[in-house]
Order: sequence, then structure tokens, then C-alpha cells
Amino acid sequence: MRRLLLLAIAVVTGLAAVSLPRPEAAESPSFTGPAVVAEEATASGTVWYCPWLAADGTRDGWLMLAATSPTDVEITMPNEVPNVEPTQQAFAYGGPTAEPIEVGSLVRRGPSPAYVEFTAGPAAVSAVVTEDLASGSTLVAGDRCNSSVPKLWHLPGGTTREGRQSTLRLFNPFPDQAKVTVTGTSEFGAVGLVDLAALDVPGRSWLTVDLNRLVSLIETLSLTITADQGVVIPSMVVASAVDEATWPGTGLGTTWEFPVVRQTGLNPRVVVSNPGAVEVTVEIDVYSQEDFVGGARVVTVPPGSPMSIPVGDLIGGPFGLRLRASDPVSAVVIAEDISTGEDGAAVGDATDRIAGTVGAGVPQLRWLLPGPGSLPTAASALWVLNSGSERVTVTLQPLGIDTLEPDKVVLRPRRIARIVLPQGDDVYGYEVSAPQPISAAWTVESGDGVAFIAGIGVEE
Amino acid sequence: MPATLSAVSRQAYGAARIVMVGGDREGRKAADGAGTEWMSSVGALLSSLDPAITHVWIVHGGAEPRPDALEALLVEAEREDVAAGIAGSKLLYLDHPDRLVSVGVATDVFGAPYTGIDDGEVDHGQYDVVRDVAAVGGASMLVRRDLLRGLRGPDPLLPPTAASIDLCQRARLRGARVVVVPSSEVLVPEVVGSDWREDAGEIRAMVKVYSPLTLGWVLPIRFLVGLLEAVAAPFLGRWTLWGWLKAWGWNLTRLPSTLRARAAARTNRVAGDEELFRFQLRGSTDLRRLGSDTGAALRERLPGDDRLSLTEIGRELRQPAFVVGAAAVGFVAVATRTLWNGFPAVGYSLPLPPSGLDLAGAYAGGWNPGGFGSTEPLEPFAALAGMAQTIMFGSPRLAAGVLIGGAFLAGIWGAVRLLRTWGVNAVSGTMAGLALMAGPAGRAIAEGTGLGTMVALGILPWALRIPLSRAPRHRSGWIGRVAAAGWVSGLLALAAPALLLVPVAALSGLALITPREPGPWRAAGVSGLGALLALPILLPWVAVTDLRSYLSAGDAFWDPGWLLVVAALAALVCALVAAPARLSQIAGWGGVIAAVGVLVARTAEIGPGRHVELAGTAVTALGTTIVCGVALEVITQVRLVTGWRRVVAGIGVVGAMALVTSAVLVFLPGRAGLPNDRLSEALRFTAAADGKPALSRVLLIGPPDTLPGESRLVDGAAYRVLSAPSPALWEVGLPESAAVDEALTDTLEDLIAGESFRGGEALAPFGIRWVIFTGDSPFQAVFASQLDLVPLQGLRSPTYASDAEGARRIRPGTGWQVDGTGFARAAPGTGRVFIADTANSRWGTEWEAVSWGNEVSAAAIVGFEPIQIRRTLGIVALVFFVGLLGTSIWGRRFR
Repeated sequence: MRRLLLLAIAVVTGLAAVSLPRPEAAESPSFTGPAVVAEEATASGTVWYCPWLAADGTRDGWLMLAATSPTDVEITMPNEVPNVEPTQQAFAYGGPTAEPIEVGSLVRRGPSPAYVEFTAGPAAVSAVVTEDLASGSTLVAGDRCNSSVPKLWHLPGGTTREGRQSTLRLFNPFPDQAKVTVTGTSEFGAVGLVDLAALDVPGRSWLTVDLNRLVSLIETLSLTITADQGVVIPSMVVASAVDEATWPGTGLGTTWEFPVVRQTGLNPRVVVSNPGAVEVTVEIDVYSQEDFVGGARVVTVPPGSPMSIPVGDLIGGPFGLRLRASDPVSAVVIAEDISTGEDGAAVGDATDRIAGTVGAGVPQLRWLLPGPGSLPTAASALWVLNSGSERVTVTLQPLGIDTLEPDKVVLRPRRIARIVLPQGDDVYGYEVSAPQPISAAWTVESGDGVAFIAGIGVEE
Repeated sequence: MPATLSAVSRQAYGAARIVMVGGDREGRKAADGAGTEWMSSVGALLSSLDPAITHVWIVHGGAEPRPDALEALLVEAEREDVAAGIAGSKLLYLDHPDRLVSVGVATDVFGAPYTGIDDGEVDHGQYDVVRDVAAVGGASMLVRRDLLRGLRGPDPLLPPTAASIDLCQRARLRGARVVVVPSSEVLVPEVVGSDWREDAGEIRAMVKVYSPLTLGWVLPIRFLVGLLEAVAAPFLGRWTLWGWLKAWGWNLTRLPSTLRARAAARTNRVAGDEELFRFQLRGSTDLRRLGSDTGAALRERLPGDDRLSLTEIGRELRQPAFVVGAAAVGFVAVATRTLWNGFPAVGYSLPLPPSGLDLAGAYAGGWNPGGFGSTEPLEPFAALAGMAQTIMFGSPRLAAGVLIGGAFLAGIWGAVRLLRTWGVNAVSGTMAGLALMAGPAGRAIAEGTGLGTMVALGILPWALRIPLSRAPRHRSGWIGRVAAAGWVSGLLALAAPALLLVPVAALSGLALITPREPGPWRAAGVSGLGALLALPILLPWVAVTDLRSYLSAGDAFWDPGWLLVVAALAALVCALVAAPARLSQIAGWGGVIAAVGVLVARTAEIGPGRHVELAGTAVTALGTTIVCGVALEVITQVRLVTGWRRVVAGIGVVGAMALVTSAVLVFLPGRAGLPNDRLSEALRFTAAADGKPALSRVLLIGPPDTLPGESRLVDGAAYRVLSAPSPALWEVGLPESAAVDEALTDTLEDLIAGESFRGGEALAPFGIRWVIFTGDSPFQAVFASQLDLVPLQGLRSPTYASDAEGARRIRPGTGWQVDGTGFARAAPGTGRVFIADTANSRWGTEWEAVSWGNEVSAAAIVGFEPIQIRRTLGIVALVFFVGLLGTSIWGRRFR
């Protein structure tokens, strides 16, 4: 009896043990890597990567810096030669400041990707490359730099058609070697870029890829850059015979605002890339200084394919646009002198200027625009888009070495404002703010060169 | 004395004079009573002797020579071929005249006597031959008068045995022969033991006769042998320390007299030390006795009735108990072979720090260096390991091997002793011991890197066995028993505090199962008292630790291999069914213990944590051991277990053997079941880094089960910091999060948020110089996008080195070295230094909290000033432990 009792106690205790539940699995990480902001560039970023900079015997690069509070600044330009220390310059700003830094004053060795670090923000960086600026310039190319380092980048808007030279720059500012895969799509579907699979980008260096050599006669080339190891910051450079346009990698979004689409004389188009698996309906609203056309164009972008949408015929004069998509897409605006017919073929005999820029995913209350007014002999203009339904008073706070008084502009609902800036006013940037969300950009023009440069939103 | 005088006067060969020497007034009174001449000293006697007297026969009071004793001595000593200066008699017990006391005496080089006679050895005439000996028994020695005069008689300061050895040695230096004459028989009363005076006399005798060269080595060795005996003898129930001290002290105070006597002894000598060596034994008789006693003590603890003796050794060696015991020792040697290189760096196991005293000091009020450090007490195992390391000459490797190897041996041996309580034979007990230490539960503890619990597992059976031992007859014996239970429970608790109450609970369970037997009740009581006495041994930890946090840290959920659970269940059921009633109850008791252990080890849902799981698993191991032992024993009981019961018992044996043979999983890798070292290799490169890598930290990132010890989470990703290049055991735990931890968390969150891309610079203030990934983590993408963290190629784990300056725990300044838990350098600097540890005002003079860290004056030594009350409590605990140990040794005399 006692044996049975002991056995029963042991078995019952054992069964009780078996019935006890396993503890819940440990918490799993709630992130997959460094946070990637949708904008790829917000003024809260502390490091700005500018892949397309260059300075040599004919070209000058300009780092346009703007900061709204005291901060230390350090510019680093890695050397392509392994184990050679990068070129660095450090300085400090005591308050709201904007300043153009001529890359040629630091190095003159051709391509010179750089990154700029701020110890406090908001701060922002744009980068512009010029050629023969003193003599009136035949080339102006630039855009805002990136402060985000996602593992996946989208670069729409490339082309290898006749008369255009597209170059991909992959900048790896980090010590770790990066391994990236570049895939492409065109109006014909997927593009075979075998040479760009598992591409090694050495740490603290960069790689320049001549896309025309790999895939020729592609009208619309959209690239996707995936970092399998490490991180890179890409940019696209599209060159015509006399001018260049460059824009950074971007992300995906269902809304993109472009405050500047057409500079006088340029014929704009929007290139939309749909990396998804389903068709995307894209609706374009256009905003001019005097008019607004909602749903001015509605197109369907097939999956896995980019589409170049001409928008020059939608409205007269300078204008901006808002693009709304049924699923996330990437988009850039490209404006060229060459007019294209319905079949996309070039017509006419224009100067062949080219500009391009990325859009703003989210309108913001504050924008930093480093650079307007910086380039001697070049004409700059601010572009502000109010896609909202209310009139807003926009404050334009000039930034320079000295303290400057702000201007105010009243902007009607669903309109753009184009403010042409005077030259030689010691103004090297602007902080644009409004009580309602707006988006802002700026343009620079000199001789045969023109550039569209996106503003950098200040997240509140 | 009258009997002695009577026996002397009855000698066939009549003496010229019979004189009673010494004894002061009482001696004189006795001599007067017997009508015998009395003289105060041998010297006085010698000067009074007629020159016609050729020999002096010295007989001790109490001795009773046979009537022909003197004649035999004289005849043999005067033989031409003998011509002895000193002749001694064969000594027999007065109470047992057929049993030998001595037939001459050999000595070792240290002057210690050795008779070569076994206790109670009967005289069959086996030693009856006249021969040269080192010395003769002092009870009866015939000395030539001229020789005795030249030697100035026996040394009056020496006790009898030492005096006779001394006299014989001095005689040899004068060229005289010393022989034993067995035909001369003298009966002597039994003398029990010897006191320190004999030891002192042996030392004095050595000093008197040896050359300076010989003294140069025999004296130090004699000193060390005595010390060794003093250390080891308590384990054999003897206490020789005070005697050893007294003997040397006595000689020190009498050194002038000894030197004078030496001068006299060595004057006119005709022989050297080699003449003395001729009749001496090799080695040390004290050591030989110690070894013999140890062997006997060991043999006593093994089952069987026969004690170790020369005649039995051969037979015993062929017994299964010895074969299995030897196999178990071999098993332990192989199964723990890699641990003699130190503890592996994996899980909750890290190598011991360079100094055991530092480790013990960190436990007792020192700085807890886990993470960024704290004043939270280290686990008590740190004290145990630190003391073990100190005893092992400070060697971390030796201490690791001794702790785990010793635990394995102690566990197996303890299982044998515990199971012997119920008559389980040594073979079954040894097998069960293997199941205890290397069975499924033991392996689970090792796989969970519960170093302390592994050691505790070796102590656990003793914590049950000691209270269960046969009841002492005397109160003193009881005191010793309770003290033994106290210090064993204390050791158990030091190794694994959660196991403290297990013995008393298990014994109470046994008492409930066998309510009519007084033994288990008594044992439960002794065990309970032992547990109470163990509490002070846990000081200061028990006084300052948060027991709730300690017991709830982690998750208690052991998932045993269910195949082996079936095997254990089979062994239990079969033992319950087939075993005789008493053994069946013990098997049932073991089964209940094992089941309760499993239950406890899976209670994560209601709060208990890792320590409870380990304790529960250890309890399961204990229960399984008892079941295994009984299941294996049952089959050996051929007369009691017959018929179908025997078949059932066979099935039980299969189940038990499945558990035992699973120990091979421990045997082959040689790590006592501990996992392979994962961290040392990953950290090794840091040792070769520039500067002083030991001043920097490593940030380890990976899944929690790949990180050593405890870890923290940031956004669900696990990480922890350790010191480079080889973190030590005291870093396993992490204290409560402090400001420095929150600062590090904020920094990591900034990196995750993409708000900072200079990770090296951000981590440098924390002293973090390297980032190592122990497994997949989303942090890898974060650190791959840092501008100043350089990936190191050629390493197994993804590793980044910081480009940033000043990633050191102490800065600025050069020449700093890690010194225990603090820092030191050759010369004090000027100004102030920052210490990147948790802010605490005990870090040094003119301390100031700077951010989350410490800023102090740059002295030559910058360290944490111990918390004195805890240090005192630690010392009290140690003294209390030693006191209990001493009391238990003292109490063993009264078993």
C-alpha cells in the first residue's frame, strides 16, 4: 500500500510538472537595422552623405551647409586610395548659419564624395557641382544630400538614350566593405545588370558605374540598390552634352510633392517607378502660381516597370505638382531643354540643359534650404508649394554668416510661390516656415546649367 | 616499581649493585621502602661506580625483566663477534606477554622510531636474532660502563624513547655497536600514544648528532613534514598542530643546552652520519604513518567489513567495489580533463580571476565588476571559488579543476556513502553516483553552466548522509555531528544557496515515509540545525541580497529528455515493485524527490527563475540517484528477490543503467558536461591590441543564449559589456540598471534610430573599444553603418574595433594597469582621472560624480574602498565555518 502511495505521489507530482506551461519566448528585437526615415533626409539627421561631389581642374564642388543652432561641423572626404587618411575639416557655428564650402579648397582630385557631421541640429546639407562658374558656367548639377542609410534604395529617372550619359555613384563612407546588388527595370521590363550583382564597394570609398556601357538605348531606367552587407549611399548622374543633373537615392511613398517642376524653357516629366507586384494608379495634381488642376493626369504604372510621364502640357508657366499613387512608388522630376514628342523622341534644337530632383514625401511646417544665393554669378529662386486648402503666410528666414531679417510671403491655397533671389546679398541659405504644412525647393541657374534642389524638411 | 626491583633482584646473573635513579623525593621514598640504594641521577651513579664494574643495566620503572634477561644481554654483548657497546632486550607487553612491543628500534633520518611490529603481533620468535639496530628500547638496555661514562649517561631532558635513541646514536658516533638481544625478554606496561615531548626529543637528538650538512636538510624537511601532518591529521581524527608547535618551541628555548650537548656528543667521535644512516629507514615514518592512516580512513568509508591491510590489499583490489571505484575515479579524471585549464567562457561560466583573494574580497564588501560594476554582492559561489583558488596557490586553473573534479569525486563518493545507509553495495552506489553527477539532471545543470550547482551537487549527498549517520553515544559526539551538518550545509549553500533547505526537506520526507523509525526524524532535526548554522556562513550575502530577485531572475523551466524520464520512471516502478520493503520505501522516497525536483524546475509561470531551476534539477538528480542505487541493488539480492520480482528488477536495472550510461555524454568531451568555450576565442584578439586592452571593455551583442551570463535588452535586442581580454567569473551577473546602463541604452537607441553614426565615439566614454556579435542581431546592420567602427577581418564572429580615442575604463593618463577590481600604476599622477564605472563615492579620494561615472584624484592606486561591515561579516562567516569544521573534527572522537 505504501509503495502504491509513493508511486502515486511521484506520478501526480510529475504530471503536475508536465502540465506547467513553458514561459513565453524572449522578446524579439523590434528593429531590423538603423531606422530609415521615409524622407531619406530630414534636418534632424546628424550625418549627411553627398556622393556626387567632385573638384578638379575644370569642376568645382560646393557643399552648402545650413544650421539653425550652434553646432560643431566636420567635413570628411575619404580617399579612394586604400589606407590613405581622409581629408577632413572641422569648424563650429555659433548660431543659425548657412555657408557654402568650396570643395576645391580642400581637395582637387576629381570625384570627392563627402559626408558632413553636425553635433546639433536642425542642420542640412546640399551639394552642387559646377563647371566654369566664373565665366558664366556651362554646368550646374546638384540636389540635397542624404542623411538616412537604408539597406534598400530606389533610383528612378536614369536613361541611356542617345545624347544622355547616366552614371551611378555608390558611396560607402563606412569602414565595413559593402556588398550590394543593383537591379534595373526599364520600359521593356527587367534589365539584365549581371555585372552589378554582388558588387563589392570597399569601405570608406566609392564606386562609379557607367550605365551606358552596361545597358544602352534605354529611355527610362530605374534602379534598385540592395545592400546585402554594409551600407551604401547611391546617386544618379545624368549628363547631356552641356549640363548634368543629379539626384540622390530615394524611398517609396504614396504621395510625393515637387514644388519645382518647370523652370522657364524646360520641358518636365515625372518618372515613376513601381517596384510592386501590382499595377499602381498614379494621379497628378498640378499647381502653378495662378492655377491648380487636380487630377490633371491619371496613369497606370505597370508592376516592375518605370514610366516617364510628360507633364509639360498640363499647365502653363512655372509649376509644381503632387503625385498620389495607389501603392508606394518612387518618383523624380526631370526637366530638359529637349522637347519630346508623343513617342518620346527628341524634337527641336534646344540648349540641352537638364535638371532633376527628388520629391518630398511629407509636407512640413519648416524647411531648410542650404545654398540659395551661394553661387556667384548664378541665379537662385525659392519654390514653395502649398498643397493645402488654406492660405498660409510663409516666412523666409535668410541664413548667412550674419543675422538677417526674414521676409514673409502670402501663399494662396493650392498654389506655388516662386521667389527669385537677389545676387550678392550675403545670403547662403533659407529657413522656410509656415503655420500649415508646405513643401519647398530651390533652383539655381547659370549660363547653360540649371539644377533643381530639394528642400530638407525639419521634423517637429 | 617494587615489581621491577623484585624482577631485577631475581636475575639469574646477579647484579653487583642495584640502584634506583631519579624520581626525586618520591623515588627516594620508594627506594627506601624497598630497601634499595637511591641516587639522584645517572651522572651521580656513574661517578660512584667501582672501576671493576664493566656494564650498567638500565631498566625503566614498571618493566619486569624475565630472570635470565640480564644474563642473556651480558652473554651476547660480550661475545667476541658482537662486542656491543649497548645491548637491548626484546620488549613484550606486561598484560599480554605473548605479544611484541619491540625487538630493537629502527629510526628514520629524522629520529622518529619505527618498530616494524604490527599492533598485537604475537611473538613466535620470528625476530629472534641478535642484530645491529639503530636503537634499542629504553626499558632495558645494557651499556658498557666506560661507554656510558664517556657519553655522560642518557640525556636527562629527554623522555624515555627519545632518550634511548639519543643514547644509541651518540654511542654509534663513538664507534660502539648497538644490538638487540631477543633472548633477553622484558615485560613492559602498555604506553598509549606519544606526546609532543617525544617529538621534541627526537629533534634534539638529531641536532646533537648530525653534521651541519645533514642538519641543513633534515631540519627543514622535518619541520615541513610536521606541518603537513598538522594539516592533514585533523581529517583523520588527530590534532597534531599544537604538539608540533610545542616541540619546535621547546627546542628553540633549549637551543643553548642542545648545542652544548652537541659539542659533547661530537667530540671524540669516530664515525660520521653515514654510520647512523646504515641503520635508518628510508623516507619518513611520520609520512608513512599518515599515508597508512589515510588509507585506513578511506577503507573505513568503503563498504565491507575488512579493513585495509597488507594481506587484504590484493584481494580487495580485485573486488568489484574497488574496480568500480577506480573506474569512477578514472571517469572523473577523463570527464573533467579540460577543466584543469580553467572554466570555459560560455553561459554563466567564466574563468576565475587572476587572484582568489580578490575574488573573495569582491564578495565580502568589494566592488562587483559585473557590467559597469556595483555594490551588489556577488553570489556566494564567488567566496567559495575565491577561497578554493587561494588554497590552490592562487591558480585559477587548478582551482577550477579541483572544484569541479572534486565535486564529481565527492558526489560519487557521497552517493556511495548515502546509499550505504540502506545497505546498497558500493558498485550500485558508484553507478548511482555517476547518475548523480553525469546523469540527465546533472548534465542539465552543466549545460546550464550552473557552476555553483555542479559543486553543490557533489556536496548534496553528504548533507543527507551526515545527519543519517549512526547516532553518537556522547553529547560531544552530537555537538560534532551538528557542527558537521552545519559546515557541510554551509558549503552547500555557498555553492548554491537555493539548495540550503533541500536536505532538511528531503529528510523530513523520509521521516514521513518511515514514521516509526527514529533515525530519519533525528536526521531531519540535525539537518535543520545544520541549515540554521549554515546561515552565518552565507554572510554577508544573506544579509544584503534581495532574495526575491535572486530567486526570480530568469525563467525556471527545465525540459528534460523524455526518453530518460521514461527510463527513470521504469527504474522507479520496478524498484518499488521488486525491492524488499525497506529498499522499496527508499526508492519511493527517491522517486518523490525526483518528481518534486522536476516540478520545481519548471515553475517559471509562477515566478521562480534560473537558480530555482538549477536547484530543482539538482533535487531531481538526487532523487534519480537514490532510485538508480536501489534499482541496481535489488538485482543483487538473490535470496530476497526471486521469481517474477527478479524479472521486474531486471527491467529496473535496464532503466537505471540507461541513466548511468548516458554519462558517456559527459565523459567524451571532458568538460564535465559544460558547453564548449564560445567566448575565449572571440575575445582572444583583444589581448594583442595596442595599449592596455585590459583597461577596455567589449560590447557583446547577440541572442541572449549566446551571451555570457546575464544580458540587457534594448528594443528587444540583447547585449552586455565585459572586460577585455578575458572576462572573469565575477562579471557573470549584472546588477540593477544604473545611470550608466541607462546612458548606454540611450546611446544604443540613438544608433538604432539613426541619430548617430559615430558608434565608436559614442561608446568610447563607456570604455567600450570593441563590438563583437555572438550571433545574429539586427544590431549588425546598425554597427555596419557606423563611420568609426572598423570591421576586423579574419575573425569567426563579426567584430568591430573603435576608431575613437580614449575607449578606456580609466582616463586620462598612461601606465594604468588593472589591479583586482581597480587600477594601479607605478607612480601617482597629478590631476584627476575619470573611471567609467557606476558612480560610487567609495572609488577614491576627492570623489566626484561626473555624469554617470566617477572622477577621483590620480593616486598610484585607484580602487574601490571595501564596505567594512560586509568585509567584517565575511570574516565572521569564515571564522564561523572554520569553527564548525574544528568542532566537527573534535566531535568525531566521540562517535
